[in-house]
Amino acid sequence: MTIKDLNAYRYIIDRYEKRLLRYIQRILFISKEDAEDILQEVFIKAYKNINGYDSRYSFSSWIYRIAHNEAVSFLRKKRNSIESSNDMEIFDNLPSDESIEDDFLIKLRDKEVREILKMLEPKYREPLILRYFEDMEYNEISDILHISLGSVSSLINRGKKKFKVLVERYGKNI
Amino acid sequence: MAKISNEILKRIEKENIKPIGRWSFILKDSFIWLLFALNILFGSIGFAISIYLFELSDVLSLILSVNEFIQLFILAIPVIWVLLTLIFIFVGYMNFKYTKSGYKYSVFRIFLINILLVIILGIVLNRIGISEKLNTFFTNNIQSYQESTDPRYTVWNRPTEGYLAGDILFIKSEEILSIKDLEGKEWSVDYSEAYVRGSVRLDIGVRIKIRGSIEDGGIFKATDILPWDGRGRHMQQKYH
Repeated sequence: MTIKDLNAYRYIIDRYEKRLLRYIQRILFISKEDAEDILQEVFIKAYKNINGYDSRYSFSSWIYRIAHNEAVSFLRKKRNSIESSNDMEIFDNLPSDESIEDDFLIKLRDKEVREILKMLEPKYREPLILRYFEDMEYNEISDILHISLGSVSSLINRGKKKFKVLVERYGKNI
Repeated sequence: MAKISNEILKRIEKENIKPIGRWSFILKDSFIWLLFALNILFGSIGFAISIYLFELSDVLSLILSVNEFIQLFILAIPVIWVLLTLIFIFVGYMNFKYTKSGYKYSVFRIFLINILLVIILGIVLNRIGISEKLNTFFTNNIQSYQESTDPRYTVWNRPTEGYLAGDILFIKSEEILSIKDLEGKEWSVDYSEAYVRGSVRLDIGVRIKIRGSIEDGGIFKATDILPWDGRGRHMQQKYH
């Protein structure tokens, strides 16, 4: 390990820490402190496994995959103690040129959306977050979640429908 | 945020964390692909032996009614080998899923790829005689292998339904021969009007398969005589 390698790695951390922190908070509904602990593990794992990165895939997908895995293992360890955090700004990044359903998402407000996202099964929640909050393409979501493109597409479509039903049932200000 | 990167880099230095060598990842990937290849190979061997054993039963050599054909076809399936083939296809699927790009393919596509590979390779292995050699090896080295896996012991061990097999004890005349069936029972076989396949040798000690019916007096009236080793339809045919 050389100083040069570490400086290069600092650049990677600086580039991804905000995005990954936000992503971890969005999928786990945890406090910033807990998310930072997970983020640290993500970067340590990424550093250890940096030689396993395959340049045929995007680096972003690779590091998000590690974050996803860490989030899953955090959930396993702490399944019953997931808590909502109040300091998330999860709706800054919504796309504006999508379909009617996507416009639907744009209008949603913070707290209610978080509550509704929490009600959604995790298998639908994460693809929706990656697509609409992380602005990922379908192939990137496929690489992160390790599921086929067809599955990504159907999970997003079904997730949107389920989300809509939940919004109609529980959304008051949406 | 800069705090996080500093903390991480400090931890890396303090704990002397090193990246895992590239060879380790290559080795892991190669191992998964090797396991996949072995599963396909074993699955193909299973399929090749299944084809070989099915052919030995000579079900396709007989002229049968639809109902009888279906019944015989089911009996002629070498269940153990077919099950082993399916197990290897399933394990192959699991292996493929854990390859680097395995997740990109749907369950259906992976199974389709595995099944096609097993079928194609299985047919090739059967054609070049590997299945026969392996079956002989298992027969010689595993006790009661043949009786439990070879469908001939099911298909041709039903004299009351017209399917009999056994070793020729002696040939009484041009019309009657005596055999000891697969369970050791002796039978007199009237083969005067039988259709004897060209590859059949009617000599003492030779094992044969006979289709026919039990006549009054317990004599088995043969209509077809086929070689024990199957493939009656591939051989030159002649009427006795």
